[in-house]
Amino acid sequence: MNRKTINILIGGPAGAGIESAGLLLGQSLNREGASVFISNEIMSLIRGGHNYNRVRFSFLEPVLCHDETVDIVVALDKDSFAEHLSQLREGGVFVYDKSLEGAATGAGGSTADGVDAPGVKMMPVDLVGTAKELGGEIYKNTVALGVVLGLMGEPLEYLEKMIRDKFGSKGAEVVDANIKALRAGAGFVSEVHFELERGDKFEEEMLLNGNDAFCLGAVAAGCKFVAAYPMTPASSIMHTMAAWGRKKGIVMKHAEDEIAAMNMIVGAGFAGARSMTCTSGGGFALMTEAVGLAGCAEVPCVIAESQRVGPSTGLPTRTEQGDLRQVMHASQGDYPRLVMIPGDVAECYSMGFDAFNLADKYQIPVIVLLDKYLSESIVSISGDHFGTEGLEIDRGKILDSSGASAASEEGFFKRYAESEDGVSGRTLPGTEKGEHVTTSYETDEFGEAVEDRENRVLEMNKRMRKMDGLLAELPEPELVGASADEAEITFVGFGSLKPVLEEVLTELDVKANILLIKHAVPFHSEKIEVILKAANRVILVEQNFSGMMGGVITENTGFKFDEKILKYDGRQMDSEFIINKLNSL
Amino acid sequence: MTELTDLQTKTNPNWCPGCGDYGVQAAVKGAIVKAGLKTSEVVISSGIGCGSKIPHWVKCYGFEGLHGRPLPVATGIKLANPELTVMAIGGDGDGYGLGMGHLIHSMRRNLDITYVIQDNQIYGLTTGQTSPTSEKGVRTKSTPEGAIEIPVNPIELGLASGATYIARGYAGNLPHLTSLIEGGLKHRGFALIDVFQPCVTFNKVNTYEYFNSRVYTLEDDESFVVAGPGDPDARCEASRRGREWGDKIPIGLFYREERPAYGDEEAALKESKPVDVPDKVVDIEELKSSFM
Repeated sequence: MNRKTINILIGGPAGAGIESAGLLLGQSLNREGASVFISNEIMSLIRGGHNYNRVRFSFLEPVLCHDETVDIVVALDKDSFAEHLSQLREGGVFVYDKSLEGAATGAGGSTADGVDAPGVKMMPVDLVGTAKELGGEIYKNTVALGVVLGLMGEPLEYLEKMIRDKFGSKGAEVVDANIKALRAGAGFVSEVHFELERGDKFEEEMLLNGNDAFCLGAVAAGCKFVAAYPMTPASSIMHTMAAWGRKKGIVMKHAEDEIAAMNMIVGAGFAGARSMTCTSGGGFALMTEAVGLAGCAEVPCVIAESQRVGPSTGLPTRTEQGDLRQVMHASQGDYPRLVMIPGDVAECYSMGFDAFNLADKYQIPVIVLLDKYLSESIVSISGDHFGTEGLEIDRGKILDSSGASAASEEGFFKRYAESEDGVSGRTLPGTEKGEHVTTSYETDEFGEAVEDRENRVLEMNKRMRKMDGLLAELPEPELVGASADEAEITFVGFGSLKPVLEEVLTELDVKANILLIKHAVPFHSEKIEVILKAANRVILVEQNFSGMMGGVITENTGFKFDEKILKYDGRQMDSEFIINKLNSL
Repeated sequence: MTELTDLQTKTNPNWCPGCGDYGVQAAVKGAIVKAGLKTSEVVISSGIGCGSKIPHWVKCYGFEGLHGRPLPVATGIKLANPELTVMAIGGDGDGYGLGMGHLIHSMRRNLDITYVIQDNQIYGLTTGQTSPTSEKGVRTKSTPEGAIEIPVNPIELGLASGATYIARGYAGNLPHLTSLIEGGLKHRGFALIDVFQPCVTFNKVNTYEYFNSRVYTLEDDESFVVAGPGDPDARCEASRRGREWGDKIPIGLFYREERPAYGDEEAALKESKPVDVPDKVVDIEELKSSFM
């Protein structure tokens, strides 16, 4: 049967190499010219449990996001039967290890395999036995990949080359065994099951996730100081920056806790480095006081906050958009800040870069809000999205010795001198004549702690004035899809729902468009109000319980949402979910 | 050459008359001068508390951050620009209470930072509660029936945590304190300098009279030799002296060890430092290729 897009799911216990197998498959398909999206669902444990990896790809149309409905399941454990059999599209194939033959009992039904799954081909394969003959059970995933390629009539050469590239360092024996395993797997398939429709090759030579893209942006921007504490799904940012440390002169300090990490980047920012940290909601909660410190002391720094499911430990390896309010309101008092929300991998790069310029220019903490789905899902994309041409480093108002003298009175430097745009020139430690104190207290222009009323109002106004310039320079929100006049539906969302909503537009029968909110603080209230009040039908789509962004929009514009599609089970909604919900609204 | 007058700030301290912090301020200034440091190349990171206001009254670069967090800020500054001389200064509540975790980790890291703890065994700015170094049984606003916990022992804590310069000074002995701080500034590694700093308003027990009649300097005690890790007996002796309390309380340098400072072994600092932010966008082509 013909398919434009194929979605493959590999399910098994943690520690069984599910993720590596998915990545290997995705990479080889990508090298063959496919557009690929790889998503991972894992449990918070090291061994056991049930994890799965999905590789969705097409040689014909761009693949933007995941799909809950799959075409091929490779089951390496019993749980896969209960979890994934029902997710197969009609005509799908359920490949499972022979040893799990009896495992289907309880999954319901009465076919030869003990499973009732009409329209689905059940395919038991001796994955483990074959692997053991080739030298060990470890090769069973490769046997399974051979089966998968066989079902699609795909050549093995791309994956064989991947195997040589990846396992070459482990020796010829490992490479040979894997290649034999792959061929043996393909040999189990007697006839091609899926005919793939093909177009021109996709020029999407890079495969990376949102965290990777954010790191590329940070490095391009000259970030050379990272302090962080591990927390899913942000950890890979610290791993990546650490791995690049020696080559790019990046100090990555694994701090004793998130409080230390945040205070360290404030110290490094004060010293003059472009500094950042990364964490998730729980870690950010610990950082909160020092985020306010950066706001008060006017120290530039960048925080990547990748959301997972809260409250508290919640579902630590699943996705949600529930930290919006936390980052918008973190810490006591009013202070200027920027909250940026990339929606896809390309935006993770561009916002990752811009964050450092804006932090320096406005001397504020900048929060880049990610989530597990965006941080960890891997997409194929053209390297053109990660260009550096036209980008510039803007360090804002940093004064040298003579600049400091000019901004001094009786030999004392005015670190917080009054200024029209609210931003005062700063000197970096080491600069002569620029000595001053930066403090968490309210201060006068010199940085001296004073408590008089007039000064307090003056300083508050000075700091908050930065938000005007910042808002004016942030790009205004734009509708994606049908024009405002034509669209019957306007979807409103933010962050990682971007590609999912874009897919919805391609599948809907009616004309629709999307309003994506990319900046939560400061907020383009006027523009958003105009767009929403002119829209025919507005539907809020969020991956959280309360529709947090909807609430933010309402309080800023007065616009109320009558129709909402919300999901908070820890798994990213797909386009089918949105369309089904839309039909029942 | 930096002179004492160069360290004069726009304002003068507002501590209570007689506060031990005046002694600490004078010693810090004296140590900067004696160590021959330029005011623009010294950074003092402090926390919150009476003593943590000190950056306002020693003219150099200062960062008065959050309660308990002077060390992480100092760490960021030092790792961002290792050429700076970085001091952290804060009280006993700040360092041994809220900031205890940072203190232990900073010591094992052996960051090249001099940390002066103004130890008055009481919370002053919050008007008199028990502190981590308050003696057992002390009655304060938060312990009206007397403190139940035993105090932290900074000297033994430093030994156990891997600090490489461990000293105790007294705000009532300025020349001695100045030389301890000067030694800390010159030491390449983490210097922990606990300072008896009487709070004249809220601590009526550990007063100048209390310390004047008890402290003796280790430097004047011929039976005490400062030694590093190669001499386990001396290390035990440092620990024994650290526990000495009562009629006789030692001040001075308890322990010193030469060990590479954290920054010396950080691969990313071999060729550049994080404050060297390039003027132009950094080339990422090679990094991009790792995703192809």
